[in-house]
Amino acid sequence: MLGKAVLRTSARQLGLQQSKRTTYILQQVFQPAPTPEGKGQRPPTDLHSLQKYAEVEYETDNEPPPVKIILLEDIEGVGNQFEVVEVKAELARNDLILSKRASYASPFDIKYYGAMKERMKDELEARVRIPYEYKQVARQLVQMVIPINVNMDNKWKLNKHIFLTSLRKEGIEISSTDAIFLPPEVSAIAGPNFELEAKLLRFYLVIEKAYIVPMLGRLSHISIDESKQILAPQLTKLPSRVDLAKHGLFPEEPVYSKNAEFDASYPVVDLMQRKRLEAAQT
Amino acid sequence: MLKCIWSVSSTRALGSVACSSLSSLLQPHAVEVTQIRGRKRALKATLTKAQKLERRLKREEREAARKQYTFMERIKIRRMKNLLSPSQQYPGRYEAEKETELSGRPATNVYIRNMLKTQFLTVSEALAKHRDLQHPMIYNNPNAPIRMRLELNMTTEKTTKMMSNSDEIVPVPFPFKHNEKRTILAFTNDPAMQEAVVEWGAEMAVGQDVVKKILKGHFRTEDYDFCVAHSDMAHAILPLRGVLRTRFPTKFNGGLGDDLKEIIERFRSGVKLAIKSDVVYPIWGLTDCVVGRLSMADEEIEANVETIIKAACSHRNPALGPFINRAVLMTIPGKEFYPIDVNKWLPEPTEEEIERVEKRKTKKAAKKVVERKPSEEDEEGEKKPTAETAEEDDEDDDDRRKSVTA
Repeated sequence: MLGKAVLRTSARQLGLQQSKRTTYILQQVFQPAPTPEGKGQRPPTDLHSLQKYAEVEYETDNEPPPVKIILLEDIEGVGNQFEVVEVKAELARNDLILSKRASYASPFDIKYYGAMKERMKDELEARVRIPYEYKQVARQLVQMVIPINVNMDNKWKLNKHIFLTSLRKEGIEISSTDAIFLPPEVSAIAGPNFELEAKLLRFYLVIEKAYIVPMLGRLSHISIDESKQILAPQLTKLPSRVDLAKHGLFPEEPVYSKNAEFDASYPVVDLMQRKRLEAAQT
Repeated sequence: MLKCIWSVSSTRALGSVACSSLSSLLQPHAVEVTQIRGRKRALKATLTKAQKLERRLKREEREAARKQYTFMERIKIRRMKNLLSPSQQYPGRYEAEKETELSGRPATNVYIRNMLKTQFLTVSEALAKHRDLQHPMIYNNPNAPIRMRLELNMTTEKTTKMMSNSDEIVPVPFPFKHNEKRTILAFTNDPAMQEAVVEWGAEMAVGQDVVKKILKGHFRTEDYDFCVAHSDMAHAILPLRGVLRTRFPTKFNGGLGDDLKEIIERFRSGVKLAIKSDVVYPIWGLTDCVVGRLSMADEEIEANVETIIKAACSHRNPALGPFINRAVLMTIPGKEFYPIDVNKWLPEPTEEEIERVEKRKTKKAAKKVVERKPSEEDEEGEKKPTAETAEEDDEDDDDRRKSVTA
């Protein structure tokens, strides 16, 4: 980091740095009379007013057109390896091409990398690629602890419906309860039981039957009567491994399946438990 | 204006102090006083007619702005300006321009609401979500009143004029228990009717004799939310227009008629629709009303919503664009809100209404052209920016420069 800065300053001192191009399009305020044929053009220094210009456009402000590039590796949100994509010029020039993660889609490069793609066909097909949309949602989900709202007066037993409503309250929409999977110890919890207030719970959300996201919930007794609200301290950060251990939980990672097999009948909870044990052993 | 210059004389004086004695300072010739008188004539310069007119217009504008609101209202506005405007307070105002970057439809079965454009639901979808939340195992309020919050655009045909506040009762096809106390004052001459009216639900029934008392201030009308009147009293209550203001019973607001029973019933069971303009941003407005209860059937609530939206939209010319920016359904109490799609109930502008708006536009455009024309001619008469004029300009510049240097 420091080396880069030193290099930049020394380059500036030596005058080696690439100069920034700025283009102004100007227009004469006073149009000179057309030059008569056979005569030389009147020099602009002749008159003071002929040197007055008004700005028509500052071209540097305009966004350059998108650039076609070939990706040399999988890039999130842009595309997969050897795909020809059009991206914003700024991203292509300042990031992807500079870091050699992409190259301009010149006829030669298209042919060259096309041949390479053919050669690596089997390897590319075997590669596990999690769709970017799934990752985007999952990344936000794992950062949340969802308050699981239950009534403090009426009897309740945790079910998918309560989880669905609690998730919706936090701004997460789910098309049906089939995407929610509860471990048996969670669905056995019933109340009202104030000893369980603020207890951390593990449950799973499945995105498009393909991507299992482990989620954390926090039991919260609520009531419509504001005077009855329980004031439990808010979680300002994600619970650590130690905090999770207090509630008998462990950190877990999302799981992806290429075949989109995690439907409502799939034993998602068992799978995640197996993965957790495997991780503990390693 | 008197200005004394001491510099020369004071140095001379100091010199004299150094060489001789202090007594020389006391001599009058030691201190020279120079006077520079300012030109008082400049202070008395009279104002030109244009300046006077400008000052008068400014003063009048200030006074008009002051008279627009009462003293208390002005204090309230000042306080509110420090806070968020009512439209910006929770759940805020919907601005479609802020969501242009976001995608419109969810790409996955699980999605985060903030990552998408606002999803407008049908009334039954929104109600289903509210019912889920008010389930006995969660909030346990399955009969919660449903509140509809409408964000409005208050502009009118005139650019400087905004829609005014209004209060009205909208009769809904499926009345419900709203738990609001509505006191109704009924005007009728018939003593038998007066008794009946109180039975039907009016707080008090008065005759022609009370009109004068009201005018004199012996009878206070501030305690009554609504006033209704029998048609036979239509003339007698006319002097009360200034006292009752928006509550004054007319055929337009439905307070005046022959069947008082029906009128009172409508006022008791109808929905109170109060359109309030935003004090901080006058082009915005808000209205909050209760449209039903969660235990009612979806169709019933939808019919009520439709009636209220149509009633609200009748206040503004539909050719001006959508009156309702966004409609959201909430429960009382509750913070969750779901935007609903109301486009199908918005009125279609008639040709007459479109014409009215366009007429105004063309009128304005014509006015502008008329205003511009003489000035353009003047400009053309004066000069055109060409090289020839430039040369003249340059010469003028040179002359001026010369005169300055000289």
